[in-house]
Amino acid sequence: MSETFQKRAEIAKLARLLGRSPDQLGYLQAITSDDIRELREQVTEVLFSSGGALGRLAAASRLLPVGLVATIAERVFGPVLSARIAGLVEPDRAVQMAAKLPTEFLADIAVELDPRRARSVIAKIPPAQIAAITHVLVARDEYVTMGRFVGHLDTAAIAAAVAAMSDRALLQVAFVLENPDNFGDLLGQLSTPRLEHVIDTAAAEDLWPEALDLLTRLDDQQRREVIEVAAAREDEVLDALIESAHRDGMWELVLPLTGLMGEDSLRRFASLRSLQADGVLEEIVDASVGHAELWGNLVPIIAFLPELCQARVAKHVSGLTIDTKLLLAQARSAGVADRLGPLGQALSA
Amino acid sequence: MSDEPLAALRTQLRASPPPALRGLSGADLDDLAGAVEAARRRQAAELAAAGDLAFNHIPRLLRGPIRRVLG
Repeated sequence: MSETFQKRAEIAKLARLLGRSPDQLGYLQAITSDDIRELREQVTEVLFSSGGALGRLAAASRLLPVGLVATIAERVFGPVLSARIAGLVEPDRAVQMAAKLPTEFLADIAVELDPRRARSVIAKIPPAQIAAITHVLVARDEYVTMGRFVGHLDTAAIAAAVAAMSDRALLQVAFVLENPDNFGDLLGQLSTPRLEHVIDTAAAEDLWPEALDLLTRLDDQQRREVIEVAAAREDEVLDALIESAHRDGMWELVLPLTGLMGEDSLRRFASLRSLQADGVLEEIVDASVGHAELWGNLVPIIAFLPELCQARVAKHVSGLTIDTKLLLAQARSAGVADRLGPLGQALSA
Repeated sequence: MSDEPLAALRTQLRASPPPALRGLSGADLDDLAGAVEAARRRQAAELAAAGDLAFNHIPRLLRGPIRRVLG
């Protein structure tokens, strides 16, 4: 995820904890996402501290039957306090209580919970109940909440949660995901039709930053499969990707993906009018020169461009202060130095 | 900038905030400290109110032992 997006996600999480809107904490844009995260963990520690009154309440609850504690949790404590006590109750008892509580209330608790402190409770909640809670959270657009939880679920529970998510929710959740280690495995299990839907949703709802972020969670093989699925979609889908990358300056995320495309997909990508539009090729060149890996991904695209566009790239490159020998060497190592048309001639001159 | 707003935030967090926060203005740090303080107060008030209300749901026989655990 880019630093800009990470900051946005971190501010959203801290705002939730403090009962503020993200806009009210806009001044935190001035510090790094790592610093915002550290601050958020300090606030979490203060609010969820296991000592004191919360710990005594949890201890007192052991003297009462599970059903009565569940009733008190719902009618008296409410979701905020229940969430802060949840991690202090024995996991088996907490799961028994959860079984007696309405899904809507459990969703309320999930919103307020620090999953790290209730990890052992979350791990014992049956997948069917996780799916039911996920449905409610999706309906409420609670992406940050789901993103905090997913990393604490086992494979069966994640599968249930993802099945309960809309494509839009899946993209948004992946975007704010914490502890994403086990997410790649799961995405690897998504069916091709589901992936196609997710990609179409990204294009239709302008969620490409989220989709690109999701792709960064995958290993190269999974990424290759997804990018081939994406490359086979309608032109409008790829146009939306290019327009989004152009608008939000995301070429450093997109070019590595084109590097995973097969020759046919790459040829088609290079033929898109949105890619050949005024200013777009020039911006891609600006983003990639000086970055060997990105340039290495760009030259195969240039090789498939019409000569007129290759000439535009050559003209743009000639106006830059760069080491043309290095660019030529990288084009040679990508095996396309002799297919760059006017650019190849300019680099060789 | 005076260290006062940062000290106020440190008090609320019971820990030293990330050093990068020194780059924020005094007003922003004040706002942040205020937000943490408000969240803590809100939680304490909710806890106290909920603790009292909960007793209405607990059988009388158990109220004594519960009070002893709660201290």
